[in-house]
Amino acid sequence: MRTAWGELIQENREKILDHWIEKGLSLFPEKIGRGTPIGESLSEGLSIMLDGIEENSKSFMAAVNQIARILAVQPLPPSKALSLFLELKTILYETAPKESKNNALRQSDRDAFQTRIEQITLVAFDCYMENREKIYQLKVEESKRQAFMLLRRAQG
Amino acid sequence: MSKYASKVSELKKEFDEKPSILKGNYLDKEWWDIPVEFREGNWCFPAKPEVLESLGFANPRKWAATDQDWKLPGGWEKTISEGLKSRLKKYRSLKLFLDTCVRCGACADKCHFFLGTGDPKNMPVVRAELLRSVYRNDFPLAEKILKGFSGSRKLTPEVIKEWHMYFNQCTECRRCSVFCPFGIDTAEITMLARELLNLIGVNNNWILEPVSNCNRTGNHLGIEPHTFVQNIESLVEDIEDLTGVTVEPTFNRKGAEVLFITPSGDVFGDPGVYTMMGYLLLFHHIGLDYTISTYASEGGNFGMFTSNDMMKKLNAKMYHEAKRLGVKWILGGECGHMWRVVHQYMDTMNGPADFLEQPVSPITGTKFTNAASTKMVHIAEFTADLIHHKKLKLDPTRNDHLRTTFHDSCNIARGMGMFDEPRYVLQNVCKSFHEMPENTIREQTFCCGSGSGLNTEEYMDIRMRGGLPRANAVKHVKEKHQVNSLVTICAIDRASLPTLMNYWVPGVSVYGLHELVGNALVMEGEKKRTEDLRENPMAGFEDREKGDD
Repeated sequence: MRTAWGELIQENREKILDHWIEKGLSLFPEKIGRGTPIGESLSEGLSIMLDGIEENSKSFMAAVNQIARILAVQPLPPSKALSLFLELKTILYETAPKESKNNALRQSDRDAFQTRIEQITLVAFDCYMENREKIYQLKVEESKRQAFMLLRRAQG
Repeated sequence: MSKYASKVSELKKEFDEKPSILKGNYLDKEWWDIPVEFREGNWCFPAKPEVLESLGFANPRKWAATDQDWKLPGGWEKTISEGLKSRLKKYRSLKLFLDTCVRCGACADKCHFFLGTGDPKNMPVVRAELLRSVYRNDFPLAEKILKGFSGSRKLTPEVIKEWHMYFNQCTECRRCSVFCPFGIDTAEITMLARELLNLIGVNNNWILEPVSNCNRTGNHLGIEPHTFVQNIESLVEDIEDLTGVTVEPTFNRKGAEVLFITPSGDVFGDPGVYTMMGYLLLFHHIGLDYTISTYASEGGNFGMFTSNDMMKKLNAKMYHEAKRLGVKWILGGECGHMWRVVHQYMDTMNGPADFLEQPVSPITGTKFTNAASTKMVHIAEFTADLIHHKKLKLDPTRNDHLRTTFHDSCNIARGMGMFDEPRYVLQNVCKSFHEMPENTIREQTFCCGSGSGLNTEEYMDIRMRGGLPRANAVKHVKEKHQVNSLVTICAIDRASLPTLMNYWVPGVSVYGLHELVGNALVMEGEKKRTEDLRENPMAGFEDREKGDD
């Protein structure tokens, strides 16, 4: 880890991850257990995200997309779905300071963390939109596939 | 403690934030009083008035589930109440299912819709309770004695809305019934509830339009005979281009030994047409004396999602056609619910088909005694028998570009108990096959999430949520074994799984079993094959050709 906030996250990783998963599952209108396919997939995605939180590596981006893909087909407005990524800031500040030796993040570290969280949220927004658009694209493709031979004939 | 156990803080948050009958507006109310909310993406469009008129079905009108007033017909309460009473009398199974459930909850987390939505009313036990609570109300004496204990309620428009919501979030896949200690078939409860809803015009266009088309022209898309023939002839040309072999299917030919019936998706849709090409190659390879009907041009039976009478009528069409053509027996293609209807209902609905003969494979002489009454043989079984008797010349390396796994279609697996035949065929026509995790295959298979007429585009979000357990299992074998091909034997699967894969597990394509058979068959007089039936290059074969040049 190269940043002070990154180190703080790693020091408190388990607790932060646990709270983050909890936040994620509480977004859903109904109770979703940790052992369900959604629960497991979300937990896996958040866990990978925390491991590489400081930069947009390939695995990090895949994890963000994995979570956005789940959120994009839930009965949630985008503002609520994407709040999950902003929550990390609150979770870190609520979880870390009391227990960490390195509890006092300087203002510049806090600003850097804030910027990173905003970046992540915007990346998640891209993924979310990509998945929403994919749903509409899939609807068109499915209709075309159902009438595959008719379209082929019509096109000569 | 289990890592999956809910934490106190989670439970507190859930209690504080989510509607519950333990607090707030719903305090002291019953669980069913929490209203259902229809919004974009969670309901299927209702049947068009002209569709209902063509079928003579009740209450044709324009309406939407989001409307406050659903324009139910006058006296609808009586229609439902008497409809339920008459069906309880007619179907002893329904009465047993409603009476014997002890609410043990073994079914709850087996349902893909419950796993995907977390909605308690999607637990099969509660879904059945939606109907059972009304059924209880129909016994005045019990009601008087047990009022407050019996869990009974009056029939109101809200009940109908709730039924419409939750009986259309069940794909009739029957995974729950595998785990029920009493063997309660919740799919039959859904079937009955949908039948009752159809009595008052609460319905789904994606089910009823195919039913109407099938009723009129014989197939779901309403394609007329000449177009049906032209489509297959077009596939015959494709086969000739790819293999140099001319297959010669016949249509409506009287006196053929076998009538072949498959879902119309195999004749019109992508990727079903490639499976059709596989069938045609196979029949040519073994010199089968068969014909295809342009009237019984549909194996699928959406009547099963509509009413018993409609299911019976659409099923009867296949047998009428077999009788008219004077065939000996029927060979059925890769379809899902067609097989549940044939295997479990046909015999008492339209059977026994005494005018046909007990099916015997003309190639191997095998008697299909399991089809002694229905006279209809599943193609996976037929092909497995051919392979077992070494009657097919196969080159499985032609499928080396595919790393496969097999999705057990609900109606084939749980509806007729067929697990091994398709696997036997698959393992003989390709070299790379990996099973998905044990609790997601065979009788425990997870539904595609789009069965029973829910494969409609306006329902896409719910379908993707319902299909997540299946997709997760495919993702597992993709990551572990680099699987890139999901093989299945159901037309709804072939239509809906490509969408599900594209969303959750991009990079996995969906194939019919007999498409792979078609790829592997070494045909007499064929030209050098370099491409599979999709015109994709076959691994290794393009190099060989270059080497030869």
